[in-house]
Amino acid sequence: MRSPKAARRPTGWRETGGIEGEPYGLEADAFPPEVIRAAFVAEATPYLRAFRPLDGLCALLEETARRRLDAIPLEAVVAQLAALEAGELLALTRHLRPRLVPGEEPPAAAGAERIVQMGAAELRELVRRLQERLAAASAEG
Amino acid sequence: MQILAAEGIADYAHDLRQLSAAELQQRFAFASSGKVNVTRVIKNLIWQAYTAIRDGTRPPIAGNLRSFWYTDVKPVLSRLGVPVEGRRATELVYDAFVELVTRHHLFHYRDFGFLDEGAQTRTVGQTNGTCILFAEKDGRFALVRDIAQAYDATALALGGYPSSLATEYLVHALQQAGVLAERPALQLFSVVDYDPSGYWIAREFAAQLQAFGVQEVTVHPLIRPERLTAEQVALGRYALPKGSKTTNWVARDRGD
Repeated sequence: MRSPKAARRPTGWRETGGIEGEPYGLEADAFPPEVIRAAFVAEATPYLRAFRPLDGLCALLEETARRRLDAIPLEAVVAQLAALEAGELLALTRHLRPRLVPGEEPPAAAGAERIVQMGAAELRELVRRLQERLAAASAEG
Repeated sequence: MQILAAEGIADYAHDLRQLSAAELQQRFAFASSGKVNVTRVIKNLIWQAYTAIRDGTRPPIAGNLRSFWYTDVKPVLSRLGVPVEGRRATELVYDAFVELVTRHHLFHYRDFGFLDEGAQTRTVGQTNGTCILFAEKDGRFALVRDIAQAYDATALALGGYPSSLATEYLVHALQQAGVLAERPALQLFSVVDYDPSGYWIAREFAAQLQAFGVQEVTVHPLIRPERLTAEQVALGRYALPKGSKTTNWVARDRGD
């Protein structure tokens, strides 16, 4: 599907073509995964912000979501969440959305709804583990 | 609206799909030649579908652009004696959509309820969502997804030449995730074939993003021969067909 001809040329485009000036091409599939990974890291590093995956937290979240023990009122959840730092809350939301809510790109409200469904004990444990994990990640630099 | 008038689009009382060839001829023929203005017919069919869906008098398409071609356009053009086989006619529909959506901003693709087919080969990052690692081929989606997710960046596979519809859904997903809120700028990291087609695929994708309002788009080609050993290049390279497309592409590398 074509774009309008008026579209501007992208900035920063590195002109490419040929191999040593000769009319040869290369399939992207000829490049091993590790080469592509290294190329991405080399090119993208100046633009990437620090990100820590918090894998252990994800496993915990999935487990607690499956159990869904005693439901607690929204006020209690809000109080718990209010204790989180902004960065912690962002990380929590980031990991809740795709993992606890089925479907692609669920709205933030759906993630929040799942938090509400958690038990008080689960939520406290969740926060404790999250804070521990972030503290450890922070200490590692 | 001036745009509608300039495009020869009007709000017709009758469902254009149900008009006879003579009635269509009467409304859409050039005064000079008497031949039907096919592009104008298509644009009016699109506009009529949009307004009906918007007003709730017709359900959303719930299919893709090709579905729209089959249900709304092909029967009408066939009735008018316009050739409906081959790519030419369907491309007229695609081009009409691109013009009405990205040039005139009359509506969005999603207003029609078109399926977001790219959702299965797309993942939007949060922390580094404005960094997009994309592959030309669907077969490489798992790879780019795994690399991007390690950095919470965005990954997708184009599945060939970029689709304007899929690009609109991508931009919408980035907006929904809030990653375009601060500054509409994207860094694209391309995994496309190192040949003229790959070049134009990456460039077209960037142009589409700009057409959907992303002000700043920078492309970083990752597939370049210098990333392989001389032996790997010698084994993997293939001769390109002769022609101006290849000549121009090679000339760019030499700085001619």
